[in-house]
Amino acid sequence: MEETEVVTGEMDYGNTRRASIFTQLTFIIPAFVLAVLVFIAIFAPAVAPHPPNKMSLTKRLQPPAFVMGGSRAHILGTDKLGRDILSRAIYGARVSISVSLLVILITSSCGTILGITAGYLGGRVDGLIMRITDVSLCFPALLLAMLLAVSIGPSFLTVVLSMSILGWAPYARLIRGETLKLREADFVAQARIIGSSALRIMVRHIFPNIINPLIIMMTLSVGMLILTESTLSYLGFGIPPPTPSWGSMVSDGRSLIDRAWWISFFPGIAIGLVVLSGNFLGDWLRDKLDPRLRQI
Amino acid sequence: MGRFILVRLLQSIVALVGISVFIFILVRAAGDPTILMRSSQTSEEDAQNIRVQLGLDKSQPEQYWIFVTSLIHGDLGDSLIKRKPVTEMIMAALPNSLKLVLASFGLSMLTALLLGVLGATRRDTWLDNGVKFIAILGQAVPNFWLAIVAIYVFSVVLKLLPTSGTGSLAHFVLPVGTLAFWILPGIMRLIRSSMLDVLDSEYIKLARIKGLPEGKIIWKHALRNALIAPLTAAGFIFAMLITGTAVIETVFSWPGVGRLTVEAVMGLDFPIVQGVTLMVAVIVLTVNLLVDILYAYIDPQIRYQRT
Repeated sequence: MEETEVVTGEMDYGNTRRASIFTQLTFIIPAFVLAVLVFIAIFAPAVAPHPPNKMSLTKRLQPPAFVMGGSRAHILGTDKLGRDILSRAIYGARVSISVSLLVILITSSCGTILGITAGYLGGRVDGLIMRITDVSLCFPALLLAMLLAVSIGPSFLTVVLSMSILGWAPYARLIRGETLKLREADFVAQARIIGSSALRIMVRHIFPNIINPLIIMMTLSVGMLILTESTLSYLGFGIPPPTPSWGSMVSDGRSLIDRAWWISFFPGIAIGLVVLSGNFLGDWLRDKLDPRLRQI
Repeated sequence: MGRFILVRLLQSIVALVGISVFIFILVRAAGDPTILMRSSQTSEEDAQNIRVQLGLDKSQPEQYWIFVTSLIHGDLGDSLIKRKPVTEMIMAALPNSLKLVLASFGLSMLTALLLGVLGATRRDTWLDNGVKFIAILGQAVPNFWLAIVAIYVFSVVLKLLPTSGTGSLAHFVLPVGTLAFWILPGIMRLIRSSMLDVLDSEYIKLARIKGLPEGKIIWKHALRNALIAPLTAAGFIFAMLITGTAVIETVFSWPGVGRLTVEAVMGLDFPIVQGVTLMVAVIVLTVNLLVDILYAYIDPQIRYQRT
C-alpha cells in the first residue's frame, strides 16, 4: 500500500486556530466533493444536460463554453461524435463509484477474514496465508486484468474480479498485524479462560477492535481503486463502450490532442479531484481515529 | 541462513506452479482458440487439425504437462495473429521496455533521494511543503492523463518534443519523465519518513557529538540506514513500474512489451498475454526472493520470524 503521510497532522501540534481550521477544511472539502460525486452518480439522468450517448454530427469537437467558438449548450465541449463531455463525465462517475464500492466491499471482507484468521490462529495457517498475501501484494493487478480480459472478455464483472483477486492482500496484512497485537490482550485471554471458542473470540472480541483501522484502510483505498479502474478503461479493458467511463474518455481524446484538448482534459481532472478527496479524507480519518497507523 | 534461502526458494517455486495452473485454467476457460484462427472458408476438419496440432485433443493434465515442459524450454507458443513465436516477439520488444524502465527508475530514484533527504532535513520549510504538495498531487493524478497533458504542452503547444514513437533522444524525454513522475511520490515519501526516523536515532546524535560535518552525517550515516525502508518496498515499487510502463508505452506508442501485451489483449491473442504474465510472475517472484534474502542478511531477526 502507499505510504501516505499527513500534512495536517504535523501542523496540529501547535493547536493554533489556523491549524485547526486547516484540519477542518481537509475534512469538509473532500467530504463535500465525494458527497457531490455520489449525488450526481445516483441522479445522473436528472443532473446531466444531455443523454451521455447522444451523438450529433453537426456538433462534433465543439470547444468548451469559455473558449472561443464554444457554446453554452455544451459547457465542457463535445467529443468526436458530438457527445456532450459534461454529461458523459457525470455518467462516468457511476462506473467509478459502483466499481470501487463493490471492490472495497469484497476485498475488505475477504482481507479481514483472512487477516484475523492468520493473526489469531498463527502457525502454519498464518504462514500459508501470509505467503499468498506477499505474492499477491507484488503481483501487478493490471496483468491479471489483461489475463482476465483476454480469457473471459471485458465486462463489469471482469473489472471487479481483476481488482478484487489481488486487492484483499493489503487488508489481510494490516488486519493480521492488528490481530497479533490484540491476541495477547487481557480481554482475549479472559475470553479464552471462560472457554470461548476461537471463532467466537475472533468474531466477538477481535473484530470489534479492528474496525477503526479497517475503516481507515477502506477510505484510503478509494483513490487507488478509482485510479486502477480508470487505467483499465483507458487501456480498453474496463467496462466496454458505449458506457462512459473517465478512463476511456481520456483515451478518446488521445489521438485528437492537437485539435481538441478538452476531450482528455476534463475527465482526467475529475479522476484527480476524486482521488485527491479520497486520500485526504482517509488521512483525516486516520488522524482522527488512529494516528499510529501512519504507515499504511 | 542456508535453510532460510532453501525454504524461500521452495516457496517461490510452489507459488510459480500455482500461478501457472491459474493461468492454464484461465486460458482454457477462454474457449476454443480455433474460432479466432479460422476464416469463413475453414472447414470443421481443418479446425480439428489445428486442435490436434495445438494439442487440444489431449486430456487436461496432459495438456498442462506439455504446457509446463515447453515453458521450461523457453517455448511460450506462437502468437495467434502474427504466427510468430511469443518468446521471439517478447525478446524483440524487451530492450525498448528496459531502456524506458531503467531510465525512469534511475531518474526517479535520484530525484527521490535528493528530495526525500532535503524534505527530512529541512522539515516544515517551504521546500518540504512544496515537495509534499507535489507528492500528494502526483499520487492523485492518473499517469496516462498526465502523459497526454505533457504531450499537449510540450508537443502541441510548444512544439519542442515528438508526440510519440522512438528514434532520437528527444523521444525519451516525455515517456521517461512521466513514468519517473509516476513512481516518484511513493519512493520519496518512503525515503523522507525513514530518514526522519533515522535522524532521530542515538547513533546520529553520537555522530553529531563526535563533531562530524553535517553533510557527512546526513548523506553517509543516515541515508545508508534510511535506504532499508525503500528496499523492503522494492516488490511494490516493481509492480508499479510494470503497470506504469504498460500505460506509458501505450500512450506514447512505445514499441515495448507493455504495448505488445495491451495490443494482444485487444486482438485476443492470448499466447502473448499468457507469456508476458508468466515472465512477469517469474521476475516478480525472483525480485521478492532476492529482497527477502537481502533483508534477512541485513536483519537476522527475519530469518527466524518468517520461515
